[in-house]
Amino acid sequence: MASVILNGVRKTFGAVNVIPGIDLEIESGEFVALVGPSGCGKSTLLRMIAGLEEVSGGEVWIEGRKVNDVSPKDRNIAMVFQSYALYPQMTVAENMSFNLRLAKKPKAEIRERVAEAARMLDLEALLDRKPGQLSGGQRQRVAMGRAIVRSPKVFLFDEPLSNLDAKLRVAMRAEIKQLHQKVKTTSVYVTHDQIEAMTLADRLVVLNKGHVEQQGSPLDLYNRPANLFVAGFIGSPAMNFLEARAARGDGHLRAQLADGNALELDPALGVADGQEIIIGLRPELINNDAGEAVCGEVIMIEPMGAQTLVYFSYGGKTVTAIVDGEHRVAVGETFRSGIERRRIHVFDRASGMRRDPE
Amino acid sequence: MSSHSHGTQLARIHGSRWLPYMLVLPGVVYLLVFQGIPLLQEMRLSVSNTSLLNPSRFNFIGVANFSRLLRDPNFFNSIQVTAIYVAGCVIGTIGLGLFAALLMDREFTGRSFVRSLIIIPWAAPPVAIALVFRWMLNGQYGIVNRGLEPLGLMPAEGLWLDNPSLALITVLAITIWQLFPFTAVVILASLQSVPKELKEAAQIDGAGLWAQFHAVTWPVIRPTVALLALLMTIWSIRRFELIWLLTQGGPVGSTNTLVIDLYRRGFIINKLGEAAAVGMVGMAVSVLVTIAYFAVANRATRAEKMR
Repeated sequence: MASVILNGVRKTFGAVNVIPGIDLEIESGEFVALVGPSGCGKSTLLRMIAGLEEVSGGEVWIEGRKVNDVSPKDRNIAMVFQSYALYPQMTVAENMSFNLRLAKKPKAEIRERVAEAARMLDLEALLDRKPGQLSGGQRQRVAMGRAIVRSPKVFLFDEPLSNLDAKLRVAMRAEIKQLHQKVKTTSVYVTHDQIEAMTLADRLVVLNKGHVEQQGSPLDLYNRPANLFVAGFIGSPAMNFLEARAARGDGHLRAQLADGNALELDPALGVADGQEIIIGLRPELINNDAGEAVCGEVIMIEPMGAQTLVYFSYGGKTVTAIVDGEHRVAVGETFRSGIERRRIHVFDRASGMRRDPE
Repeated sequence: MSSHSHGTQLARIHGSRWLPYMLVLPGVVYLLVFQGIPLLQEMRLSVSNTSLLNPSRFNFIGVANFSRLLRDPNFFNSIQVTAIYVAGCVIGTIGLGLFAALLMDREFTGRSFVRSLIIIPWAAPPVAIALVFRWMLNGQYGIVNRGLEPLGLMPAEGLWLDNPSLALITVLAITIWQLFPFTAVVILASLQSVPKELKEAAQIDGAGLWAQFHAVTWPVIRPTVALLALLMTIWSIRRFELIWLLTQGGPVGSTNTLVIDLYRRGFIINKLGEAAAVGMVGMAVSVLVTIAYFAVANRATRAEKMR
């Protein structure tokens, strides 16, 4: 059964139409990441599910109940905020039990549920401390503890790792994933970090300017981005885009690039002769000696240890490739590489939409 | 060469253990001249029977002024009036100010207009306020009685400020009306630093308005409210012109605060020595209140550091 349903949900702030209308179904127990650049409406959408933001139009359903007019506390949700939002004057235990105490649950039950959450999140030694005495990662764990103590139907995460340093972020990402595998509560996770979204979520919903560009499993979106926006957003470093013109003849399909080079494409692609197209090449896939040749003069290199980023000129652009760190490349040399034909993404330039074999 | 010696000279001044004293010197001199000397003079006056008619004559009489005060029922009355007035001012201005601040903190159209409008009573001079209220509360043609008469709520003979049982409460109400904009604006400023996400977290946690205030808002604004309480206490202890212009301490001493009493003794019945003794009592009370405040504030800061 779907746990959260958004039915044509709209949001306007004054005359500004932030979210023109979104339909989304989130299955029970599913971990969904709402991802997109800042200003895409992902946080607003989450806050509308939470009830912190009024819905300008459409319906929000949680667990089979329409909650448009239900206050946040009665929606059976818990939220983890970017700033942790812990009550500074309360101890960790008091922070975690605040909701249960407000709900006037029996003392013994409160103690038990707090103890259980503390055990799960390794917070037992910190229960009597105040938030000011905790590190960023510990505070984040308390914030999650406060959420699970309530055993809500839905967890809402609003960029919960943005305030942590890079190392801690990776560690907390793993903790959130483990936590979800343990409690299996429906989770909606907002982030602008596509890696965070890919690693955590069962399903990604890529938002842009208030509408859904594409949704699907992380690998779906990586392997078959529906349009240029998703192609550019998912993957790091970002996909290389080259403008080209399609040329058909003798049962072949070629992409004629701006610098005179050509790439052989799958002739079954739904592309007409002479059509303006965009070729998408993932940097990490340009390292295959077999396949379509991709060569050009090296402009800059960025060694990162295990791998090296090579920037070379190709197709009238500067193209990024990732090569093994052992591979010696020098600026000014000709970089010779290739890419498998089936790994070349093709988009219609006018509409920005993906073209697949027909 | 010169820049080098200049540098070492600077470093010497910088490292000097006299530097902190040099920096506070102007402030200390100012306080000594404009606060210290008058204070010493008042102490000296309080042990003399100097009269306003011959203010330069000094005749030492020991603690006679103070022992006379202790036997004077008027003095105890004015202490009682002061206590009620101060307590009323602190509770009234902070209570009303807090309420107004919480209202103004919400989103509504015309909020910035209301915010600037509310300041007017605080900005108006006490003289103007006293005159306006005496006119409005006038027994025969005041607008207040005009409004209340049809409702049957007019006090006996239409008297407010001239009514011994209503004068103090009326003066208090006018004082609170004048001062609460100040407390409201200061509390409103401190409300701006209440984290929005914390309020939302409390909402999701199921906190109603009161629980949100108690768990989120109050801990943030508490130090500000405490400081306001101190300011309101001290300002109310020494408030003169508004009360004097409204009632001159009457009727029958019902609004005779310490400061009004001081003025009466010193400048109406010319006993400067006795007035100075009243002033010393008032100062002692102010100092005690201040010490108590800082003791509480220090304890709170220590508790803050502990967590």
